[in-house]
Amino acid sequence: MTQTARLTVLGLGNELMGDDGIGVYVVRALGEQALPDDVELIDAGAGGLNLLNVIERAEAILAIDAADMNMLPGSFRWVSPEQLRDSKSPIFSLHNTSFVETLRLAERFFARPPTTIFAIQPASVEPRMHLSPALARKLPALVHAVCDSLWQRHRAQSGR
Amino acid sequence: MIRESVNINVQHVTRVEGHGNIKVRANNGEIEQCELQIVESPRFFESMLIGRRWFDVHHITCRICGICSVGHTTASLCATEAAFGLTISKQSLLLRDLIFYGEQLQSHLLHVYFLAAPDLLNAGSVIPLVKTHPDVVARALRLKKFANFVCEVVGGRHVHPISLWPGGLKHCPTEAQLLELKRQLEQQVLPDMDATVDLFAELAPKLPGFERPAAYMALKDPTRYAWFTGELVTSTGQQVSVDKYLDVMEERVVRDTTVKHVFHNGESFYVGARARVNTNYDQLHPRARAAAEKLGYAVPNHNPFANNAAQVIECVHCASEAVNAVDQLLSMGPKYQEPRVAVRAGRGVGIAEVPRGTLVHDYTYDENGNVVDDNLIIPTTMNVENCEQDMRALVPQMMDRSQEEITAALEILVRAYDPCISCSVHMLDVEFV
Repeated sequence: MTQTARLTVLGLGNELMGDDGIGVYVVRALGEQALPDDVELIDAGAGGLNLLNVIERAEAILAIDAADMNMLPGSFRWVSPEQLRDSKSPIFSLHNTSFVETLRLAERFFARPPTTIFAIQPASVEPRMHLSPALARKLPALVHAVCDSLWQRHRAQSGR
Repeated sequence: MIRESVNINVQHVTRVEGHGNIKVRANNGEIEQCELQIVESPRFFESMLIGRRWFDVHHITCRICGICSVGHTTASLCATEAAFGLTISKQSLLLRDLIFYGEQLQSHLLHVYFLAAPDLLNAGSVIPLVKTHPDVVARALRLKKFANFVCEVVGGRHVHPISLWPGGLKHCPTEAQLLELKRQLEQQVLPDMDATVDLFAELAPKLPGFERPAAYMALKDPTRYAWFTGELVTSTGQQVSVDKYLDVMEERVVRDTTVKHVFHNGESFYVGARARVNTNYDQLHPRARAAAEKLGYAVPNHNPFANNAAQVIECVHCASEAVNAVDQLLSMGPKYQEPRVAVRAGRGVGIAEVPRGTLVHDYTYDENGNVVDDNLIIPTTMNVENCEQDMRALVPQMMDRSQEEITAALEILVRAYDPCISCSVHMLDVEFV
């Protein structure tokens, strides 16, 4: 039997800030799907630097987060950490540190596990406790896309 | 040469929590403008709570901030419990203490190691320290890992705790988990805290020797070093129960904007680690008092830059008291206790001494347990006026220095207050190549 690396799926964002919380919405919806047993879901919210410990002990990471990519709301891209631009806001702030800052620190502090980012284009980021209509409509498709990739990865890893 | 004019405009102080712009303009030695501009956020969250059920409120407020999740949750629970007239068991109190210590440690340690230490070790950030001071970075990460572990054991997960509940907790750690906490505390955390005190005792003389006496306030409890119990005590001699917090603080719109600052008797005041250590020094754990002596920290302390030292002192206190809390829990034999809640209409105020200072949650519920009115005041809103007053006092003392030196000093000052902007968002910025 092949030893498969466990995948830690991080749902990122602040769900009090509308579409910024899309990662959290996706991870929550994934929790209701049938998923391979080598996947661990974490509602990481606005965890910022607190996530260093989660990153340190993960074997592989899939981070789901909002990203401004000048695309249509709800569009998504699979992105590598190298494609993330360093934050323009203060570097190494503790509060609501963007994931990219936490990731950069993780790279310096220990061997960061292989990481992929599922980046989703938001429609509006503002204080609001629900998704914009555009993203609410796209949510099932986003969950489906992630779910699909998790099973593909599982099949590839277990050699079937 | 004495400078006649300064014009400083820092757009986002690096290594501060969230965004902060510093604006200082001085001409002929006169300060014309001196502002620390911080986005004021709680207003948005106040309106989000209206109409919410009592069992949703603390889950919403815990999302306000990833670093102060436990603090917002605790203040929220205290407010709801006060409104409903609930008391919590000894076991619940100990578990809440424990997770509170965990968050306090996590936040203070990140602040002193990742934000303050690089300033004092002449590094631009924590990154160069990985090479120059690997032992310091390794210790910081070890301590942080433990703090995270506490939050996980008591809170039920890594970030945004879910176990804390009005009337108690929805989860109880096992004896094995508590024994593991105790083992790590005694074998690793307390020695690492000793080393932390030694490091900052060495660095403390590098802190600017600036003093400006000002009013301060903190919770005080005759039975313990207060975190979320007791009454609000001010350095000006006032003491009020938490529901009367508006007797000692007043929110006021400043500078013809919508930005509000908080005043005490018409003057600025500060909250946070320095205010708490000043107020409750005698109730610190003996180990923490010993640390204060080593750090040359005498109370009352009037140097805003010394907030970092006060944070180290509080870390020693939290780690030492965590051992006591774990011992008491183990001797009681932790058992799950279902929180009991009877809803009633009324107002309740919860105040918690979160890492950055005094946090107020004030809720009014209807008879069905829905929020009909609420008020939130975060510590940064209280501190910002005092920080500006410090800047006003500091700049004239530095007119013989270069504008770069003045700017650097102002940035370190702002960082010492550890200001926080809870509504900042952190979307990713992707570059397609």
